[in-house]
Amino acid sequence: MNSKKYLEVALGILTSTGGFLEVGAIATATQAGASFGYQLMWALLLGTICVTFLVEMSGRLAASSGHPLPAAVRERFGFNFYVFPIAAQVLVDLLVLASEIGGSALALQLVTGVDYRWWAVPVALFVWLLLWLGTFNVIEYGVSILGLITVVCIVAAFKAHPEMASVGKGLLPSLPRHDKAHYWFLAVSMIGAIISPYLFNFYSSGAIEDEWGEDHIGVNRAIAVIGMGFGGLISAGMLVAAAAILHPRGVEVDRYEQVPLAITATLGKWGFFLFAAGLFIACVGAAIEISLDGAYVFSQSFGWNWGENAKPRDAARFSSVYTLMPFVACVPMALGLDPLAVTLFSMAITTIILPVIVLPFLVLMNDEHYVGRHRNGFVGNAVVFVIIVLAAVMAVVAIPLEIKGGS
Amino acid sequence: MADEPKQQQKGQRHRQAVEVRVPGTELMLVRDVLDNRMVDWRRRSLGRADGLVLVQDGEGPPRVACLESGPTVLGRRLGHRFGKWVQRLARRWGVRRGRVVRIDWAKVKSVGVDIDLNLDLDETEAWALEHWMRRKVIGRIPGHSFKKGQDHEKEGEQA
Repeated sequence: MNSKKYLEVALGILTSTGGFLEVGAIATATQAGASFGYQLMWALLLGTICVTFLVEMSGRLAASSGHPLPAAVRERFGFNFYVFPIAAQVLVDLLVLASEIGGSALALQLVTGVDYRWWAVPVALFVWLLLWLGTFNVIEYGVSILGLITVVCIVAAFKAHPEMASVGKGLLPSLPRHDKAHYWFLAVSMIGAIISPYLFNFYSSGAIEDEWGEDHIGVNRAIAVIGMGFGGLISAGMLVAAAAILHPRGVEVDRYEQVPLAITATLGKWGFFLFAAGLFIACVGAAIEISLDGAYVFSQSFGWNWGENAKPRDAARFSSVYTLMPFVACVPMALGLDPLAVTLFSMAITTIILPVIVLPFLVLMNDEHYVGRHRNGFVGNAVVFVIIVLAAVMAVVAIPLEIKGGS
Repeated sequence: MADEPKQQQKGQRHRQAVEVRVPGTELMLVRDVLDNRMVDWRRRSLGRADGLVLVQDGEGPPRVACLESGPTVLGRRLGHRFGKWVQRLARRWGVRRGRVVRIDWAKVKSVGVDIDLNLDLDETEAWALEHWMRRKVIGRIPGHSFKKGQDHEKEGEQA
């Protein structure tokens, strides 16, 4: 690898870490730590492993076939299959986008004291402006370099002096001793938050925007593994901090305002501001990616011309989708819907549509017309199969758990 | 290793494009043609092949007359009644007034990852919505040409 490739990998890792981190992952990790200590670490690990494999595959598909995921799914499965997962996904995108806007608005509320409802529309406007004026690289690198602030979560975790033995024990699944329904609800939401469907479309479309070819197969693998692993590490930091600080004191996190408590206890005031800044950037970054994902999905479904590097007037249909999305999604937040409730609800809905989102991977990643000699090996296929089974089980239990175990 | 053959060229794809004009060429219409993207000679996308029209003239097997594209065609694929409903909406509100974009099969050059057409986008109505959005919405928002880049097709239309 030459130095240009190294730079590409480094920036890609930052970007995919940025894609991993969003309000859902942070909120569910904190909740899990506060309610069950280190016991739910395994869900985070499991989700991270699953998402790493799927992201690597969607990048490999784009790099080897020149087709982003949504386009390939429609071509291979036909419109009549395609329309249902994709319609569901646009709805989920809007819900998750609403919670990301809520997360950024809450970060602003934490710092300014002004109620988050007032921040919903300005945040949507800010997200749109970045999309409207920035090119793909400016957005992906800008957001992800600023997003490094979220490393504060890992610092907070170490400062809390966790018992490493218990942390390690949490990596192995175990049965809950109390609040069984809440435990499984959090496990499912955490996995749902980590395996975000928008990530696959966004990542594979980004590979096309960056003009990846077959020479990027290795780059893609490094980016997927290190980037997702790093994102998982930051979420784990949040979980550990919450487990070490909030759990012994019996604090249950049922409002977003309680999330920074896990940080401030050890890092004090500056930790608080860094956390608020990190939350804001992570949420704005995710909001940008989801709005773009909506535009990618529509454009690729209908064969419109697209590209975030294009002037908006040269891709008018594409840019009108990403213009519409943040403003539609900010409405529920401006009306005062609870952001945490919206986040948890959208995670539960995500798990319901997950099986149909993941199923095409099994076919596409073995289709030589698309991936040629870069087909899935036995391990890749086995993992996708396991994810489909896992997702199907989660899809069945998600709503009953939301009713029984969602606080 | 120095004498190793050069890596596959960037952008070279696995699915070999099938030249449809070569006699004896076999095409899987649903697998390879339907739902693929149609591009003009400058590789600008006209939309996807949402439908195929076969006609029977005289004896012998039917032949492919044209490719269709448009929301009305997609609506029809989902169900007869839903299709009618989409068509009514499109007639009333659509920029093409419900007309379907039809591409004569004679214009199809090759079928690969994309369907390559022997025509220019501007001869068709395929970008009616694009032009309408540009004129009525996007073009009226300040900063619509702030970015320097182009879409990834590299051949974005210069107006």
